[in-house]
Amino acid sequence: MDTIHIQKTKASPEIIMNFQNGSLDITGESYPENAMSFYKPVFDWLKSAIDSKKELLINFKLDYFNTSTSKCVIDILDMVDKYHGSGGIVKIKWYYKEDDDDMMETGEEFSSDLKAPFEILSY
Amino acid sequence: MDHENLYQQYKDTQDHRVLLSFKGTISQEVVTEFGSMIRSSLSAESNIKKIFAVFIELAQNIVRYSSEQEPNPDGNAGVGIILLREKKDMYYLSSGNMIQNENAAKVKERCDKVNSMNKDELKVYYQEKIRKPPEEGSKGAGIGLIDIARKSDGPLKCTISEIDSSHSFLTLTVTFKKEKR
Repeated sequence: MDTIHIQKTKASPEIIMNFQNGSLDITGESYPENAMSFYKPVFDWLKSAIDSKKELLINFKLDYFNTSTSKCVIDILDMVDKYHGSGGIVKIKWYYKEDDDDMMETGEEFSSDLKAPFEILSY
Repeated sequence: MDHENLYQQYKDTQDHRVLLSFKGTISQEVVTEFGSMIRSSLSAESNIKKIFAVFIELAQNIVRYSSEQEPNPDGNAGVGIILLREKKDMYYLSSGNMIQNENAAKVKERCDKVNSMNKDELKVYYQEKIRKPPEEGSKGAGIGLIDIARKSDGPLKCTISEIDSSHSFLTLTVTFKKEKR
């Protein structure tokens, strides 16, 4: 499977899904009108990567997201965490802009119920 | 309002420090454009991220839930009004739109619920709701009001006025303390 690249727009992030090395990068701002349908390709990709027992590296580098996106982010995290629970190798990295304490706290909040390795890093 | 008193309206808008006032059809495009406008006009404000985020939630609520829908080829669009005003120590961000009478009680109940909670309780409530499937009729995550209450300063003002046998007008007002960075 090739790399899937979704270009960023004003209200949606850049998404790069690389099946070969199991990496998923979500970068930018996310407040599309319909987050569920926007993130559908990500869920589809994750599902096939998990089915193929890929080693996963998920990079969130979001500067802002709305509440409907936050639901999708939680769903992605839960899916990856479940895979980790069943023996999958995963790593999640949550990047926040150096001065953005709120985004750092969101990372802490979102990871509080997870068991998968979750790193919070500034950039 | 007509040709002769446009100056009066210009002056009123200025005197009342109206930063944004719009009544009309709100689509995702309009949300994005006004969002950028708010960001640039309040760029010196340290709360700008929160004001922007709450604006997006309120405006997208109009897009999704206004009972006056005018869908366009790119998606949903709802009719409503958005007002952002500046006062001495605070910003006031308001949104208004028509809703079906049958939804009025539910909206009021949600507002009352978030207003009864402090920031810590809101955090717990948010975390609890975000992992639940959205309620029936929700087109988002169903946590917009909780997020708005967490990000704003002071209670979320919610007024619902019955307009006719099937419609009510919903007004939401949120405040933010002014803080220069």
